[in-house]
Amino acid sequence: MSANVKLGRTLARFHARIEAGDYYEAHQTLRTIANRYVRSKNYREAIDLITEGAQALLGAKQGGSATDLIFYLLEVYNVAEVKVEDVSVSRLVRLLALLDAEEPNMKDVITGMNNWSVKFGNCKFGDPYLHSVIGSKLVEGGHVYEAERYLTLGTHDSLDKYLDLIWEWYLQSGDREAVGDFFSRLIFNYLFIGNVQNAEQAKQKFLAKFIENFNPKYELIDRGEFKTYCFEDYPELNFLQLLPYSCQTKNADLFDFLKKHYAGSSERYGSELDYLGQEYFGIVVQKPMNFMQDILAGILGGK
Amino acid sequence: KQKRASMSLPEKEFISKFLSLVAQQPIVLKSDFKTPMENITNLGVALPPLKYKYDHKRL
Repeated sequence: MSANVKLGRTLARFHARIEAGDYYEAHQTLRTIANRYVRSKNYREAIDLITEGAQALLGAKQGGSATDLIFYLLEVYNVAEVKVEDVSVSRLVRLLALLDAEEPNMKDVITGMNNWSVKFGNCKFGDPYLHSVIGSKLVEGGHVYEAERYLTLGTHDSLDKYLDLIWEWYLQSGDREAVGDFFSRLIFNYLFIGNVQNAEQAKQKFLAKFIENFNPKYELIDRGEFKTYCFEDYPELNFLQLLPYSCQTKNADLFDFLKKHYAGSSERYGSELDYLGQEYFGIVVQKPMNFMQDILAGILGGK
Repeated sequence: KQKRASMSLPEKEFISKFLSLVAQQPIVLKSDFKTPMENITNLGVALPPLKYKYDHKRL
């Protein structure tokens, strides 16, 4: 009997048990058989079997057993040294999509998946496609700060998801004046990772929503490629719109000119601007020396 | 109202001037520039949490 036929039979028995509601038995049997495949290094069969099992259990709303199998799948991924590729990622993405966002160990599942993609892929922080799905799940579950991080490091689709999250959050705050608190997150998070394109698009899309919904007083100042909505009552928004332009020039004088004009925003976003100063303009921020060091340096004639 | 209008004038001038200066500079990073994901080694500064709660069940 070929491996495929065997696998097919195992799965048929498994599905029958799920349908009969014998979840525990189905889960245990499948694990035992998968174990056998792993021990004989038949990783492909093990992966197919575990994936299908996890999917069926998720379909039957058996989150606990299903996530157990997902962790097992990741174990096999690690043992088999499965590389980050379309097939291996989309298998995880399918499982994630089925996972209930309220599942208690969802965050651990996500961390496990991402850790694998860090270990067996080319990106230090993990796979962007995986991130885009993880980000949506985290939003669904209300884990917004974690979601921000994954969406920032996602695919092009993640931009709209991130934007929707920030916009919805702003609306929920009920504080119209706080628009800069929200808008600044999009601008800074994209500039931090050198994504001028997303900073630019987030800027346009977010401000279009802001204007459409709240009808603030503004005037569009247009210099060809470079445009800015000059908001009469929101100088912080004006500052944040100009910031990416200064980064695009990498001209430290322009960066300084901008910071000086908007002293309030510059103070408020001190550490964020220090970071951008370093990344885009090569401005190294010197840590203040402590007093004793200063005196010693003076005595020893060094500085 | 009067005061506001006069307050916003210098800012408008500033923005105009700033954009003109930007337009005169060589643009090192074009507007569609993004660092390839494989080359990102640092995520910058962690932004402070917002003082507003997000309720995912309100959607």
